[in-house]
Amino acid sequence: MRRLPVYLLLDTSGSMSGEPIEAVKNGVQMMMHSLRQNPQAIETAFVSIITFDSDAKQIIPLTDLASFQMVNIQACGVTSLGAAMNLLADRLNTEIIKTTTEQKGDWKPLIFIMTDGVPTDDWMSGFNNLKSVNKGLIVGCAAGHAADDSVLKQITNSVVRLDNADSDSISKFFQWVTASISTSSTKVEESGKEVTGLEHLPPPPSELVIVA
Amino acid sequence: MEIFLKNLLEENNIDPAKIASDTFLKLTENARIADLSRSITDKKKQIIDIVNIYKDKEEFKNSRIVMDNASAKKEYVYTFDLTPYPNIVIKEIKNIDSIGLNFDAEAVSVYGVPLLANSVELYLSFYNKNDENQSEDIKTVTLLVNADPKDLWNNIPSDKNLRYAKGDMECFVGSFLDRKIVIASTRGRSHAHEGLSRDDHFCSKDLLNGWSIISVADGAGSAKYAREGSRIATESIVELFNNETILLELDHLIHLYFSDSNHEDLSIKTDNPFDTGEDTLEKEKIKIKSSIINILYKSVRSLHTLLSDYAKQESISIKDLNTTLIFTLIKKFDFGYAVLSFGVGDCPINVISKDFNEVKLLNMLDVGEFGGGTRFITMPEIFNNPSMSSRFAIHKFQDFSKIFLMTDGIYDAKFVTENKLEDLDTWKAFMDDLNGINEDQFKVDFDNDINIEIDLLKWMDFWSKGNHDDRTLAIIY
Repeated sequence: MRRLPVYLLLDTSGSMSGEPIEAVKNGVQMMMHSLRQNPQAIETAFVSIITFDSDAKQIIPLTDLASFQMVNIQACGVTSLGAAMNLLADRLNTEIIKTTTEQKGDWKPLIFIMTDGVPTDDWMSGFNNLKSVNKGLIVGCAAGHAADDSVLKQITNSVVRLDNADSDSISKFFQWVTASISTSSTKVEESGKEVTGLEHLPPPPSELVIVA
Repeated sequence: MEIFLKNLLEENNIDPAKIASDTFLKLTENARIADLSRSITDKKKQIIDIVNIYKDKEEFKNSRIVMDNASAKKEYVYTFDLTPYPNIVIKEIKNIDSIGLNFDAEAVSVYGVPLLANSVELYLSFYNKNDENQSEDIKTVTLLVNADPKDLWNNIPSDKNLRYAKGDMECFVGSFLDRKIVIASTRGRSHAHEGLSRDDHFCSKDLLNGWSIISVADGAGSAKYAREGSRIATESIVELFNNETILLELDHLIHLYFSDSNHEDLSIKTDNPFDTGEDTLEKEKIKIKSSIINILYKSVRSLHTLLSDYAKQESISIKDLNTTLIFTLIKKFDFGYAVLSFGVGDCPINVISKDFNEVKLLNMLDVGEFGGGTRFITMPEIFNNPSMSSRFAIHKFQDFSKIFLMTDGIYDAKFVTENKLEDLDTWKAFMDDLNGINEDQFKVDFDNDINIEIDLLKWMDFWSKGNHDDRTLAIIY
């Protein structure tokens, strides 16, 4: 069975503490609840969560929806986006099954990067590492006023912006991520085609502005 | 004892230094005081024990216990790890039977088969084993029961008023040369879930002059009217060959091609068309083969024209009719079965030898690394591609056990990769599967074949994770 790997890179730096981080936790829970109702997603989609603050951690390895269990996350520290991309590159290398003559490998991964600030480390070297291994679609999300979308725009051509990092906006973002995963799992299963750009994903809600 | 006494005196504002050391010694040796102090220490310990009982319970109650997720209708076992709480005993789980599970207090395990998908708060009733009253407290733990994916699929009939509507399933049994053929075609779960049409189609017919044909097509998921494309492709190719002139000419050429030939199997794939050897017989054979391929090519070309004319007439784009196509045209001669075949797209045609020790894939499959390499009969570019000639094949089989044609809805699930389509063990497992060695024990009975098409339809409803495409399987037996 070909899996659809989904990686969520979530900013857990200090500025996310309080309402935003709570909204992210709720968002992930709602997302899992909703995806579990979708027969294609529950069979196809596998989700991993990487958080980044002063360091990057893969808090959930690539896991099927049925066994997925959210762990607690806290917001503190700075914004090591570069470390997160390095870690993602490493995980893509080890977790994604490649196609061989004996087996069909995974579909190309779907990657969402959400940040509310500006990277504080050498994001470029992390990005170069990621570029060399990633074949999937990366969607960047700049959440709130302080988020700098110029870095995200250099990372991917698919960037959305949330004007507010309040719980309502973050929840809308996760609803859109949920719909995107649903659409992708249906698409790969029915037509054998992967999504390659924002135009293949469901239209984002009004809270999300496409900036690239 | 001394410390106890000193502390006691200080607590009562009596300076021990002001008591003569003799007196103090007497006090420490007083049996009654010794008794009383022992009993005080004892009482204190009892209080601490009670404190610990509460503390243990509180810690357990506030601990984070993450139970593994369960799945509806699937065996589940979870054992609580109480090593960090050695004094805690879980007596029962109040609402455990409401979800169809049981609790084994001795093994501290939850087990059973949950019936419904749900997220349940379990009420663990526990006590501290050091508590002689065993007074109980309740800890809540969340257990998630996932839905059985099978229950999440809808089965919505397709709209019969839709343009080019067709049945959601179809089956056929009939004669094929001196053999029989059974075919079934069903809508995939992913289409049924959204009430969409079946995009697969098939057509089989006994033609003139002892020829028979079977065609199978898989309409492209991305094409708007793929259901119609596959129908026209399969039905039209059958009619294009139902032509006496063409069949007589094929008869003649096949006779020439296979006469005096000791080759059991000649195929265009194994011949080198650039071979300029001196052997005129060989040259002659190549010429005959070219003539045969040419006849097949012309019919396929006519089919393409027909599809493109149809698209114009219907004011739709030919891409809306995108479909793959495989067919095989067979006749039994005195030397055996002549099997002519063609394929565009990713559907295989396989011949299994009489004694089942050889399996042959007749056509090349258009498959890309990520499944994007599929070609369609509706694409004009396939006709100019140098690989066009390798889409045709001419084979001779003295006899065969079965011939299979299938769409990817079948082989993705049962063969997984293309190279398994010529793997004898995989084919043996596939035959076992058809013979009833499967989860549902559905058997396609080729010996007692009164209801074979229904057998096949039932069998084709097999469950395979991630494989919910339309399924079509044709078997000549």
